[in-house]
Amino acid sequence: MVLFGLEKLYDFALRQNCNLKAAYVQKAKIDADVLIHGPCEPFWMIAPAALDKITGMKSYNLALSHSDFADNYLHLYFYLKNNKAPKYLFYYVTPESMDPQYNVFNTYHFAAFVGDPVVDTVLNECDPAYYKWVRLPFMKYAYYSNKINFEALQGMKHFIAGRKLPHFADGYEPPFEVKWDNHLEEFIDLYPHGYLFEWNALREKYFRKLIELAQQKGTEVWLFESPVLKEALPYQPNRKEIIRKIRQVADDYKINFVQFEGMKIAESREYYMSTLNTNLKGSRIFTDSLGHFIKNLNVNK
Amino acid sequence: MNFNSSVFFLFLFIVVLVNWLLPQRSRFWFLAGASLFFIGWHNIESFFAVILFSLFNYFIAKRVSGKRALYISSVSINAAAILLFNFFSESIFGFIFSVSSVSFHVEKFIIALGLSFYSLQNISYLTEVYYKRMRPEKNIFRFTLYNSFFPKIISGPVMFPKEFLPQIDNTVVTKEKLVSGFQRLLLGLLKKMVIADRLAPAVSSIFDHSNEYSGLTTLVASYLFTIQLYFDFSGYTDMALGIGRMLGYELKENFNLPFRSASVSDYWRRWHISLISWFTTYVFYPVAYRLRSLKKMAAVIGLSLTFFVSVIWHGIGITFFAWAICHAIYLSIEVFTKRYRQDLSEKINDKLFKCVGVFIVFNAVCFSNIFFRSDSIGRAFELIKNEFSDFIPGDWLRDFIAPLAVGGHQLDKFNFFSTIILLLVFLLFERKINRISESVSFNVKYVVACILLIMTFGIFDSGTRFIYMQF
Repeated sequence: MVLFGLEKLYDFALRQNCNLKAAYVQKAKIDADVLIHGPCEPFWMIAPAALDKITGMKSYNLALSHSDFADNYLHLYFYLKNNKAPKYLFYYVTPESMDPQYNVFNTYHFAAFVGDPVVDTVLNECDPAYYKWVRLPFMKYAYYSNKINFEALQGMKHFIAGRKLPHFADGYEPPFEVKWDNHLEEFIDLYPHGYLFEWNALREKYFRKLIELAQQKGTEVWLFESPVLKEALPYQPNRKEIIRKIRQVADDYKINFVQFEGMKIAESREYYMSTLNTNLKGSRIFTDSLGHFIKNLNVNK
Repeated sequence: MNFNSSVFFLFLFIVVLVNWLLPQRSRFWFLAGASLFFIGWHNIESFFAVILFSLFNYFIAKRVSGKRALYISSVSINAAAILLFNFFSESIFGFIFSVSSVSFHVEKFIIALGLSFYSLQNISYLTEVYYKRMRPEKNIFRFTLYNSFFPKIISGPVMFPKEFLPQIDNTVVTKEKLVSGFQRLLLGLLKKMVIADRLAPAVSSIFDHSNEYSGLTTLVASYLFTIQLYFDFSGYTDMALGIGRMLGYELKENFNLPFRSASVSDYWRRWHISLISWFTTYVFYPVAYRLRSLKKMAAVIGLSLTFFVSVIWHGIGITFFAWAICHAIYLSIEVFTKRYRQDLSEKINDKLFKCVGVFIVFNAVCFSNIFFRSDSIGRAFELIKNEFSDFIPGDWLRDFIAPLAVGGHQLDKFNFFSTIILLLVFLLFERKINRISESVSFNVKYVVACILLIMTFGIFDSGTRFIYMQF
């Protein structure tokens, strides 16, 4: 009884948490024209406010750090449940996205939404060890309590304070004040002869499902990859091969995959904190390029 | 099948229920079978190892009484098993199986479940029979149960044959024992899942990347590892004792508030009690007795040899040697300064003397545990060096809590402080909590509080194994 009551309290509290994107997009009317989506790279890189000034359209950043395709798929599903379908979805994809060594399915983002058939299906497939417990009282929260308690408390705080907006209102979080995180050096130490990216079937499945979901709603999907720091490329021997496979998926759905390869920022660490993540300086330059790309796209239409 | 896994709780429920329903005389058959099933679930090599060693020691014991050569050789075989499996296994077995066509899971074989623990029990059994202090066990299944009893197979407690074998015919499962056992089991789960496993990521992160953190952070990490080790191991012991009690057996206590020790010798009377009492009985006393003419030096030599044997038992790593040397030095200092400390205690306030003692002992133990936890001696010295350099950085708190959890800094702070608060509350009320868990009447408040704390703060997803499972 106590656990059942506690579960209901957490259900309520987590849905009140404006900082929890999965909850926020189901409550707030965002109705963006341009939706940016993907893992940490677009999350820390693309500022909707800057984009809007260039494009003249309203944009929202739905991306989340450390998230994989299934995680992104559910966030898009939540977004589309409550908001009009965006005109454009710019979805970040890179060879790392296809490899299970990079990013994860963050089950705890969705604990409060267990019971929704779409959520249940994805949870069962992506985290079966968790899903087998969720029918027991409170276990859907107990399992990842280290991640959830704080969010539930914050949710109660938002409810009591009557808060309506998240800390980062347009979904974009500026990158950390890190000059260079040394991940490339650690990567080279680990794989001095380079690392071969894996193409994971589950990742591909949710990559396709995400595109299909957006297309079903009439959204124009654009896949994109921001510039990769050039000095890292020699250590990724099959990068081009994976890119080719991503293009094949794009071709299957008759959508474009844009790589911003020619940009000068790719030549210097000055604009990066890691191989893929740009720092604030690099992010501004890339957002500007993407903004002009979207503007031209819209004007030409 | 870890004690904190779902499949284990299903297994436990069935075993407790069937054991309770069975008549007293049939229980040991059932428990021996259930224990072998538990071991076989872990891996088949462990299953065969426990049967092999049970058969060997059972038949040797029938003939060992008064036969010195047989006694020494059979004890040597048991000791060699510990040595082989703890130290030489990787190199020797790895080599043998790599050059032969035999296909064998070397890694699994190396961690034959509980071998280090039941080998000690077998040595004590052979010794007791050899010196005619007890008669050899007649029933092979009863003896197998002594070796394989699943609540204690993973990491003890180490039971003397006289403590365990007589219980087999006298098991009584009462409602009071079931309640008390369940409450003790809950306490163990609470210690393991709410405190030890919540501290584990921070401790691992700092010990594995010591060069990235400041001196104060590494110092705090060394404290937290000692606390993690205590909660992990005593949590396991609480679970073992609780399960044993639910099956009608009383296993030996392993801990008695060790962080309240005012001297290192006191600490060793409160920490891993069952193992220490084995070493004291079969290593320290015989050596100290034989060298008694050397007076204080007999104790020092006895202590040094005891810790040397302890190192062998833990796995003969250079880091364990360093850990053992630390404790041998601490205890030797205590032997030589006994009179001086007595004089001092008479001159100053009792409470102050004890507080200072507790502080010094805790720090000394934490220092030695840096070696116990580190992967290599180089890493241990790097950590120690780090502790004394860059001691008070500007933002140590952020630096320290960053590895505690992945996520925003607010989440890190919340997790860090909630763990510390839980830990302090537990340590403050430890004696009272222990008393309630031992109670034979069902304490609703205690049970609800334990379940709520486990559900809201327990770590379920990591599947962290018990630290002492490696030995």
